[in-house]
Amino acid sequence: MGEIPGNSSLFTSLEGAAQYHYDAVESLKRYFDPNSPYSLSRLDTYPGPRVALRPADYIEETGLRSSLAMLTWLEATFQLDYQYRCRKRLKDDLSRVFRATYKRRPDSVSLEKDIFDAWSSYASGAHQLIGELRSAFKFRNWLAHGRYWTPKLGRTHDFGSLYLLADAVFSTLPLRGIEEA
Amino acid sequence: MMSGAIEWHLPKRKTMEVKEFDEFVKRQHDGTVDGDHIDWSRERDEWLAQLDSLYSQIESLLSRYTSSGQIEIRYKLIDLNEEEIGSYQARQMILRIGRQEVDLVPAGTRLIGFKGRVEVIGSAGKASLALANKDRHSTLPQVAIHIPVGPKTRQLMKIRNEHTSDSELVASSGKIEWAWKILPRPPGRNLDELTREGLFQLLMEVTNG
Repeated sequence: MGEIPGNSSLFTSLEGAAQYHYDAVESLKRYFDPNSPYSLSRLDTYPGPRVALRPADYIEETGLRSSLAMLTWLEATFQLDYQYRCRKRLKDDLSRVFRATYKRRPDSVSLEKDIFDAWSSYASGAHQLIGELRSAFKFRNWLAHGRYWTPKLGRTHDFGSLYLLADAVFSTLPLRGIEEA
Repeated sequence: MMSGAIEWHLPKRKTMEVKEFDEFVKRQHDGTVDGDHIDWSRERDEWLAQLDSLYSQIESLLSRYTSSGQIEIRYKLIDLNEEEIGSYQARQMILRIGRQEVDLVPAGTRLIGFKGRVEVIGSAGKASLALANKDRHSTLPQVAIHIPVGPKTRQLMKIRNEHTSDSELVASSGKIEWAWKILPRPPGRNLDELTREGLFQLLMEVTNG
């Protein structure tokens, strides 16, 4: 499980996303290692003025970017599931609610207000997991909209914790439609 | 003509909305089985007590080095803010190993099936410790999620929910024995016990030792 549609071959699974992220982090560590030949020669390659950044800043930024990618994939899987349940006219309660939403507003489904609400109410046992997703998507909104405010997230998020969340989502929620994408 | 059309539609729509609202209200109460009736103050206090026990465990595992002065341990209070609990303070452990510093930063309680998580942050990276059911060996939460089809299965699931105490996602302590474990780097899923060797390896990883 955990197949992510519509991405390059590097990003075809959660495992691929983790591999990419940690390879990028390890590459940065080696690039900035004082013993690395690149550590000094890189200073000659920048055409413009340099910004004072520590290696830790690069690693932190890489973590935020990987986190955003992970969250957008999660969003895509919920949207695909919504579309599948509407299109295939499945008989379960969740699919019926989705179809009612689609009938009312065919062009504007809200991930948090429509899709997460329905999962929380109509999937037995999903309440806590959806709560975790809601918190993570506050973080996603902060990342995606320019980080110009101090977010009230209620907890800390990073690539590792979001991976755990995504792994739990893909392993426990009966998401449909991903294999068709 | 217009008023006739409205009279025909309104009563029907109104009946539907009341029924839907009734179901909505009922669902919100049913939903409390999953999480709304938790004593959050007790959750916070238990989490903070478990945090103290983690620090005691680490102090004990490092005692050989702290008694010789090779490793120094100090603490500072940090602010945490969690959705259901609100703001509170927790202790952060700071390990000084020569020129290296490692911070053990509490991330919060009730995270993705764990009762709590602590980030271990060093100059070369980050790792995590999680407070999990002692018998749990995987990062995947042990919870079954089902979508009912029609009123019969809906009722069956309600009964199942009311009689199932498992679900670490909804776990509120009591009978569960908790233990601190080392979270693997993704995509690993195996939870390792926090042993002396495990701690030493963790500290070396985050400091590039």
